[in-house]
Amino acid sequence: MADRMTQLQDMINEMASLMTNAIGVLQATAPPCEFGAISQELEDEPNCAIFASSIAKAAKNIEILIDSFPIDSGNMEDQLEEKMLENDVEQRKKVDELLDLVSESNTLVKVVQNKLTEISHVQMSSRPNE
Amino acid sequence: MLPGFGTQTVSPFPNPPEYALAYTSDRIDNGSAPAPPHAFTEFKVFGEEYRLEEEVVAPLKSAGVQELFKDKHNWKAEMKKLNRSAVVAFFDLVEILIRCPDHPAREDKMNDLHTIFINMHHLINEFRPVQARESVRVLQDRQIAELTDICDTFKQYLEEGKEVIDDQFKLVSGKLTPPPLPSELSKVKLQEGVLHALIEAHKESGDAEMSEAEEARKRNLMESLTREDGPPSVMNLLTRQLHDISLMK
Repeated sequence: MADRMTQLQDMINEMASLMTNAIGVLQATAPPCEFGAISQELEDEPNCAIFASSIAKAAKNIEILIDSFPIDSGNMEDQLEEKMLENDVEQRKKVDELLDLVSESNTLVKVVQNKLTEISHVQMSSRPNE
Repeated sequence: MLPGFGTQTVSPFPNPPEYALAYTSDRIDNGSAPAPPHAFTEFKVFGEEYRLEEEVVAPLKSAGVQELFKDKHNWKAEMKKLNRSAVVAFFDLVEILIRCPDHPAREDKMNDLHTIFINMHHLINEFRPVQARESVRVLQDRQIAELTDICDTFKQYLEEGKEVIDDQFKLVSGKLTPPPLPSELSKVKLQEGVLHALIEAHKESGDAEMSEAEEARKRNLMESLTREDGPPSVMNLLTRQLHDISLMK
């Protein structure tokens, strides 16, 4: 499943190939015909209808896909750049906040460790002498 | 591999560029080494040419193809117009083929169709850098959201941890309640100072002869200690044990 842009490119290529194939196949597989009159066999040719409907479907699909794009008209590039700079500033703030929290947690861990070593010392020293 | 030696060994790799000789350690320490050379803006990578000075999407005019769209900013409308024109051009082409296949207008129509398709692809290519930048912005948004989440959960954990530690410290620094006295039902009575007297009584027996009074006192003490009124006290049990030990000797 490619992204929409690639899909659109593929569909355009498909429509172009349908057009060329339609003309080519119909010309190559055409039954002999008389001048001035359209024979019954020519009328019954099924490929005509098939090609016509597929070309129409391809064009319609392309139109639907184009409509589905989340693009708003106007100058998007400047807006984008503004938003990216904003995001950059905010990300730096968040990172600083996280660093502060981490250092705070480090001090807390040190306090707990100190208490634990104190407890262990007291326990060891309070063992009965042998 | 060093130049100046007798035998010239052929190395499979190309030699370093000539300007590298200017960057000796002494000259770098001196500060007189030349500035680093500028990066290339035109180069070949795996046989493909890269020209960084140019625009990312080559304008149509350089390829000699006529531009068909007027308003570049209205991407959707222009694409739809091109789509319709493609179908119409195909229709016209088929009409010409029906009526007069050798007419020169056939070539014109084919070129028109060709141009239309190239324009369509060109519009899509022009949109690609915008798409890329947009995806970078979305990536930034997601990163910021993730960081905010992490910060919040971290703060929560820190708060909980601090609470627990504070509780523990309060517990340690607070005064413990005194141990409860044993109840009557536990069948053990504490008698203060009696153990000490008992021990002394037994110690003295190992010393020099004792006088009659001391003997009597000892006997009275023993009797009082081993009196069996109420539940047996700790002293009673201890005296009995000592007695048994002395008997065993």
